[in-house]
Amino acid sequence: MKVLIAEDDRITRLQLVKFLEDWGYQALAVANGNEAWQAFQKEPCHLLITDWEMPGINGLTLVKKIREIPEITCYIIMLTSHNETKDVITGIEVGADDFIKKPFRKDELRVRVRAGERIISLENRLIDQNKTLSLANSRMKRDLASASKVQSSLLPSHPPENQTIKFAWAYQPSEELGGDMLNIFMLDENHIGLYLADVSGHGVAASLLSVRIHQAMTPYNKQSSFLFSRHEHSTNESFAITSPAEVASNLEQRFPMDLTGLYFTLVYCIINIKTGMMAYINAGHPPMLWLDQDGQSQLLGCNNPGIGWGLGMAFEERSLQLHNGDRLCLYSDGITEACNETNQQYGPDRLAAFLSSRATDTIADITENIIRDITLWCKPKQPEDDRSMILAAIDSLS
Amino acid sequence: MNLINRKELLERIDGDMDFLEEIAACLSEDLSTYIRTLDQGLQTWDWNAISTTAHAIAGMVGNFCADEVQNAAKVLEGAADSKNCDETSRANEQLKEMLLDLGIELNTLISAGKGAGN
Repeated sequence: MKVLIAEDDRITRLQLVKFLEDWGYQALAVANGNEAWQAFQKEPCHLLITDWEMPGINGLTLVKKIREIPEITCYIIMLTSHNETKDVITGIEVGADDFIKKPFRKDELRVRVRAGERIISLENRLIDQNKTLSLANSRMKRDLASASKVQSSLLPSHPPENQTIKFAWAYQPSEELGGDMLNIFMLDENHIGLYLADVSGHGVAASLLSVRIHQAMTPYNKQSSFLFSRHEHSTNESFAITSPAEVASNLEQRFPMDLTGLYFTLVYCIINIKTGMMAYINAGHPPMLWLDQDGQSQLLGCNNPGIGWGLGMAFEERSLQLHNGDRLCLYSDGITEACNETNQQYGPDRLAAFLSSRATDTIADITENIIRDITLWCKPKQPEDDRSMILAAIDSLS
Repeated sequence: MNLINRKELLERIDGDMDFLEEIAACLSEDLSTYIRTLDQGLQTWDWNAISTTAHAIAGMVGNFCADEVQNAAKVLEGAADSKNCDETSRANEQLKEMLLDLGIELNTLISAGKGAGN
């Protein structure tokens, strides 16, 4: 360990060098504060033993200057004939770590230098550990950013092609990775499916489960998808659309909380685009908001628990006849439970009022403006939960 | 002559007589410079020079466990700080005498120590 000695008294200096070298330290001695400051700037030391009174820069000023360099760790012992408490306080205030009264005893010097060495060693270990942690943190952030991109890529890139219903959606995770998932897809030429799921909690575990839900509810691989079931007694590969209640039951069996440690809420709708008939299931999710062509709103819920609880209950499915001009809003609780500074929630009434007041706007504009309105409502608070939403406008039923 | 606490001094230097000889030589060299500075300071009543030099001597002789000499240097420093001509002259004379005695006592100690070592 390198020790810099700043001491104008030649004999004290000689003693310090001799003792420190005998104990295996690498000692460099200078005769005043200016030389010490130059030596320190040239090559910082681990430990500085400095006299208080010296020609040029005195010990206190030297300590102050060294402490102004934040990234350097140096243990500083002041040698002094000052033994008043106020002098000790002054020295510690400017950054000295310890004091030795002159003339010093060899054994006292030894224990104080050893104490300094222990502290420097601990500080260096802490610096190394912080570096390791910082590297690991950067790597984790990069991984999370990549995972976030992957998760976002699972969201619908464009609405399903149809002339009957227009769709818009918003997805805003509260952290890098969200526990919400949504999708809109054609099930066949007459049916559109849409769902919004909200996994309990946030972060990596919740997002992984949301990705698994997405896989289970994809329409592209009918054999493995929960959205279709093989026709009984059929000899060829023909599939029927699975009802929302059955989809919920299948998800309940596949993702029990015992296995994942998580549960999720779900709203899943199947809309017949020819007749406007909608079948839906709501499993523990905030009720959908339905606005008719006159702007009257109604909340559509079901008496079902969230998925994963394993309560063994049959899921209740409901249906609704939709008409041209109706609008439907599926949203996660991060929308209606978004709190302002006084902990007042945004609430379903405010959401309904917002939707009613913008009957002539495009649904893409409405979706964007709702998210903006909620952000303003919460300001300056940051989102505490994922916010996601699907807005559907029934346009031209035949 | 018993200006040095020999037991404490030998403990402090781990009985290393060669090192004691080395630092005693430094003391001798530095003291002649300091005494010259003190004499010049007294001629012109340069209080700052007297006080600073007395302070340096106090620190230096402290290394040799010579409390009485160290106190004499502190008395001179105090007298210079209070700009008292008579007291400063008196303290200076007393300190010079003690320093002379300290040098002799140190030489005796080193010779005895080295002789015993041989």
